Amino acid sequence: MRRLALLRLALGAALLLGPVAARADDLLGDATRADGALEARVHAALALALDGDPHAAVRAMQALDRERVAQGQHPTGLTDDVQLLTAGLEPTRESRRLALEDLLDAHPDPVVERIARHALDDDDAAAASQLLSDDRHNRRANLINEAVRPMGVFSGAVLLAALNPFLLAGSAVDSIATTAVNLWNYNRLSPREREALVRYRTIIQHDTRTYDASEVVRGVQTLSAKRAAALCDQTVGDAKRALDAGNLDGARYYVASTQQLADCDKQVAKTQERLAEALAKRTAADEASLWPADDAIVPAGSLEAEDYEALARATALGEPDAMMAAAQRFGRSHPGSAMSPSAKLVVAASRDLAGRRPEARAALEKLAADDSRVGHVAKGILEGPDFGQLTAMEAAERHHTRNVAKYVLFGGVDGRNAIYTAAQLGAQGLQAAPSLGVVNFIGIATRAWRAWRHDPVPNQEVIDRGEELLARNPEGAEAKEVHARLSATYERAGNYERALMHYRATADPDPKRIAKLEGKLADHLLDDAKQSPAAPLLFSAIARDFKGTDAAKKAEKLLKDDPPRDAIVLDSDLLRANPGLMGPTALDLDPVLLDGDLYNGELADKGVTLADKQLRLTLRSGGPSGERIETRDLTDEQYARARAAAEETLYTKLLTKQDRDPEEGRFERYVPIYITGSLGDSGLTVAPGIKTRPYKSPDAELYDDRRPDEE
Amino acid sequence: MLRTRVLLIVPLAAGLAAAPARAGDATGASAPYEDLVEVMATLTWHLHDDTYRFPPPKDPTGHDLYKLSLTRLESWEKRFPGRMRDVTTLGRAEALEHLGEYRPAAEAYGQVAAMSESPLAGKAKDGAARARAFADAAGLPETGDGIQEELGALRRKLDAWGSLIDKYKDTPYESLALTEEERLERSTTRLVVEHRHEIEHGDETAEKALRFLIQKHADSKHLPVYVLRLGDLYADLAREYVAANDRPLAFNEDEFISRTDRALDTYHKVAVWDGVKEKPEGQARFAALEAWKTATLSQYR
Repeated sequence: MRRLALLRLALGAALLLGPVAARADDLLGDATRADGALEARVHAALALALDGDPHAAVRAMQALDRERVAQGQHPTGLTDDVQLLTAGLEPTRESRRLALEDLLDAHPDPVVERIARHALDDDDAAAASQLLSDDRHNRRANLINEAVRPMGVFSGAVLLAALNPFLLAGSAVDSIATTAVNLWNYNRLSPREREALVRYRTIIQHDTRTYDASEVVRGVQTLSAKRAAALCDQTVGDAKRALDAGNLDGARYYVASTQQLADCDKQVAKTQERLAEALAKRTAADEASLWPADDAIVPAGSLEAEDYEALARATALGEPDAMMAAAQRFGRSHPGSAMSPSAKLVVAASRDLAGRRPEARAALEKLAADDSRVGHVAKGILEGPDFGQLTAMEAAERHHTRNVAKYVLFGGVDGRNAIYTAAQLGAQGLQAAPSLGVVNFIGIATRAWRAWRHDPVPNQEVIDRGEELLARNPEGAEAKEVHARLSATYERAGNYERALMHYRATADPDPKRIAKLEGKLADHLLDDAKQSPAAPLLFSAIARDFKGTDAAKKAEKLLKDDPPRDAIVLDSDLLRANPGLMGPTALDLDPVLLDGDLYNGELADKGVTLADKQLRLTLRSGGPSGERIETRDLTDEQYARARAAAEETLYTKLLTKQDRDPEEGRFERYVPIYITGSLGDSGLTVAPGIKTRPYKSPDAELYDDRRPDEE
Repeated sequence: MLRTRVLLIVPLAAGLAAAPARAGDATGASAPYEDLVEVMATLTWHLHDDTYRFPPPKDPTGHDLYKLSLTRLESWEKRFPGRMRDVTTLGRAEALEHLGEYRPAAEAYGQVAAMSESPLAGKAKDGAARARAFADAAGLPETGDGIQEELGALRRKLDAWGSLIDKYKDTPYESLALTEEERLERSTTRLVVEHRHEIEHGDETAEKALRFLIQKHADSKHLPVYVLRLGDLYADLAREYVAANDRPLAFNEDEFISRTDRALDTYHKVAVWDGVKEKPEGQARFAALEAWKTATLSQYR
């Protein structure tokens, strides 16, 4: 009975639903036919474009759009893409630019817009013009900003400037001096100009049939002349630096190099003279070292001569004991002899040969006080590579300490600060002291904080001396002490790996200190690892090799949270913004997962992860974590399709990402002025300025010839 | 008055509220083709680029455009199997050809040529013939049992590419053939430089080979590399001089300086060459050699 009722119900339902299903079939068939027709039209247009008639392809797509609009449908949205293709095939640079500008006027989709804008921006002539325009703007802006800034140093007395014009005069002097320096350097060849020159030359190589040819040629001529002058300046500067550093061979090379440069003779003339003089001096010194200037000293009597010969023989044989015995005998027998200093030198040499360097050093130091020629020799030995390294290292350390103190007390001591301070003191005398005191107190506190956080003075000199000493005598008596000093120096310089290595080589390394240095090294490595493309590998190395440190714990956590290397993560925001990704040609997910209704399942913020032929869904749940993971296995075909769709979406996202400068103000294009306040080395500064345009070339380093010491 | 104000405000508010709709957004049935047309547009744009003289094109995100196009076309084929197969296969063939993968390119061109109903079959047929010729030349051996055999193999291969350069002169494909010829001449030169101690007058021959490369490929994008390699040869000759004359009395300072300065001059050319990616390498090599020169001179002084 029940079965019969069910049958009746089924028949009734079939009678009722029959026409509806037939209508659905019709609709599906219509849709499929329409899709097929659309594909045929798009295919025909693409074939035209690829087979050499792109304009016909654009016309075909425009006709299709008109038909669709007439039928009440949306346009295809593909015409802009075909127009982009057509623009690329335009025969000349000008027609290509016009086609791209027309395309942009038609509001294309974001991807086409980005590609078209990139093509327009990448045009060498346009880019060169923009570079030169930005360069001119920045030169003027810097000139004005630097002139205004000295007026902005805050102190109590500035408020009384109207009553005391002398104070303002101090800032004015600073401003004038800075402006004069900037004007002197105003025409210096900039990296932007270098890039513009390269771009102009590239246009000439590419295509000379451009309407901008005359502008390009003019640009090349002007910038080439400027670059030649800059190259001459650079080479002469290199020669001067080498000369100042006593590197005469280096200076000779650079001076000779200028001979190959056009119009560089006058500029190098003075340096050339200086070099010739220095070379002549060196030759004279070399000559002098070969031929002693003093008259030879001869022993006074025959006994003295005999003892002296014995001393000379022992020295020539190089036996420390025999040398010491002969020297002592000579010293005892002939205390007032003119040859005594020589005997003392032999004493020092025999001690050093016997491995007693501290005693040898003491003997040499005593002898160095002697005004004789042997005394000078002893002094030379003490300053030489065998004895002078530790002294040089100590001197370098003292120099470093002095420089840090100077930095904290006076800041980066440059002409501006000196002029400013001198002008204020000159203008106000002792009255200026309180206001300067306020500025200085703030500045000292700031700089002391900075110096504590990060060593502001280079440590290279100390490192060079110490490393050289250890390289010469790794097992020497001073080695342990040098290791300790180098460890401290490397730690100051932030090179914890070397600091640790040297600390382990000290006389009595403290395990606590080793642990502290290891912690610092691990932190440093972790920071680097985060920026590295091989981050997971580095994290696991840190977790393994620095067990127990905070960095190792952080690395372990990062490894745990990190998805597999080849995984693709699509968060829920991305899925919402690209609903096509949920469809059957992509991830094939039910759209209810993003409808906001928790009862039918909802993707959490982490979205989905594609890896290892699986789709991992992070769903919201009522559990303690608020999330649960659901994993779906995919066939090869499904996985390949899902990855292809995900990669395409991520690429589109990357391509259409807004690359606006986050520091760029909303109205900056119209009012490029800013007011800045900073607590810097010179105290509190508040000053208005014209915003400069940053140089954003991805190849900026390829247009910069400055060396670190010139910056 | 109020009416006038309303008339002014309404269009203004409408203009501010809604940004102009983008005509270019493809939706519904046409959406799948948008990616394909974009890939084909950017690829076709750069098919005539001279990759011998200039670096290969990059997309706005900095990726190699030919590689990217190939990957995107393959992805599209996975998502929409069977659709527009002649277009995607032709695109892949063109990308592969510009990546120097001539055999797979010839196969892909051949597949499109075999689709007789496709309007692209004719174009693909030409492409297939060209890619096959390129693939045949690229397939010739480059190695041999000894240096002479290897040089002979390289010579035969160079002849094959030379005839293709003549055949495709003044076409967009000439640059592909020139790139291959340049690569082979680079290999030949490297072989000579590496084996210069086994060749009679090896140093002079190596220098001549490098100078030939620099002169013949003065238009190439790799010119700075060749200048650096010449600098390397000069630097090696200076080091070999020191090794052969390391005793203080055998060391001649002027001879040493002239040898190192020749290398320094060569490195300096690249060190001050704006815009080439080899510039930092040139600066570093110059600095390293200069430091070595100073250290060596102070050692012998």
